[in-house]
Amino acid sequence: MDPETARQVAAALAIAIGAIAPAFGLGMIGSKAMEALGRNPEAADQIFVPLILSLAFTEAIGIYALVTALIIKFV
Amino acid sequence: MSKLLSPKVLVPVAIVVVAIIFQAVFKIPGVILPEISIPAEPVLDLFGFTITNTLLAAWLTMILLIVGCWLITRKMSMVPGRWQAALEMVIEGFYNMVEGAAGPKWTPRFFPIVMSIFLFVITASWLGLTPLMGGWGVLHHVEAGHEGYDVNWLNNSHSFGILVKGEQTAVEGEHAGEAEAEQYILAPMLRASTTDMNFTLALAIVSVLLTQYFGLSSLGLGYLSKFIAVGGVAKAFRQPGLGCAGRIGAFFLGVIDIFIGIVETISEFGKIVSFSFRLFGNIFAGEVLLGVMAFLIPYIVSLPFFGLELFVGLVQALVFMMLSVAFFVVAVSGHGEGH
Repeated sequence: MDPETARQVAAALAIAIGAIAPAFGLGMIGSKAMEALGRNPEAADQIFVPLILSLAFTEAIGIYALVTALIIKFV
Repeated sequence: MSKLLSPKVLVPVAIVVVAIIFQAVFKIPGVILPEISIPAEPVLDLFGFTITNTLLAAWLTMILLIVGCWLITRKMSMVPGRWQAALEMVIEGFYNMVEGAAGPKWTPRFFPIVMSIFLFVITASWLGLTPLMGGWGVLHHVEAGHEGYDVNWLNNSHSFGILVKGEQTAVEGEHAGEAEAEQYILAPMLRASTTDMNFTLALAIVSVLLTQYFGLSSLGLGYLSKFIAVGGVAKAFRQPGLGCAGRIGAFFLGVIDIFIGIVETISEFGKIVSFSFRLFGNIFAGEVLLGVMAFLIPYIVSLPFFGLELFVGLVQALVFMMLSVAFFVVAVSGHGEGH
């Protein structure tokens, strides 16, 4: 494999593999939040901010993979 | 059926049909794939300083915010006008949200800085979605080994032009160097400032330093004991009435505290990284996504992604703000006995 091809493959793999775990995490957070809302709809306001924060922390992992892929591809 | 024929549906469909016909008749050139570069491109040279396009956009953002707020709050009245009412509603909503997280004591101190961060980030991100950005700028000759585009010059002196998608012609032999010189790429004059790592890194450093400031001003020097946790070890030697075994146990607990302090210190730097990468990654990926979508299927298909990017800009600004608040709250509320 020549270096240019290796770069393309590495960038694709970085984001493809790196997105798996955050995707599971985001789904889990979302489903649990929906569950909590279903049990107690009045708690929507209290759930909102922790929900956004935990989504952000989980998403950050995916973003690391994305930034890595971008750096491999373009730098 | 009558619902489908309402103006709400018919008008967009008509626009799409007209656009397709327009495209077929006038042969509008295809959308080109924008040059994707992670570092901001320098576009101006001002008194020896290199001005990048993201810096220009950041200045534009500041001017917009300052002039906008000045215009809206110029004639404040008890019975607010339309704009003042809108701004008051936004500020009040966010104030209540911050108060829910930080409590009534600290909100007046936290709110101005986090709301400024929010307004700055969201304006910077959303400005990147306006037609002002990205489409126009300085034409450069491509470097050797990179792909460029032909230029359709608009005037005779070849100073204004439009990049066009030409046919991919393989250039070989002695004309290779000559032909390559005719290929250009565009360095946009303005580019959303949140797509620059420097911008997001600066905001992240401000936020993390403010965390330390609020912690110090709330707990005094005791705040530093979170990072240099030698209190446990000192206690093992000083506290009266401990047996030998008790002292050894307390000593090891103290050593664990010291390591936790080191981890806390590292995590402060981790906050800077995660703050800046999160904002940069989201907005930059959004710009790339929009560019690639417009390139693959021009004009129509990128519209839903445009809506998505509006939402992402809002969420990322909100996340930056609420994370700052959460870190501030952790810093001022101390640990152990104080809580």
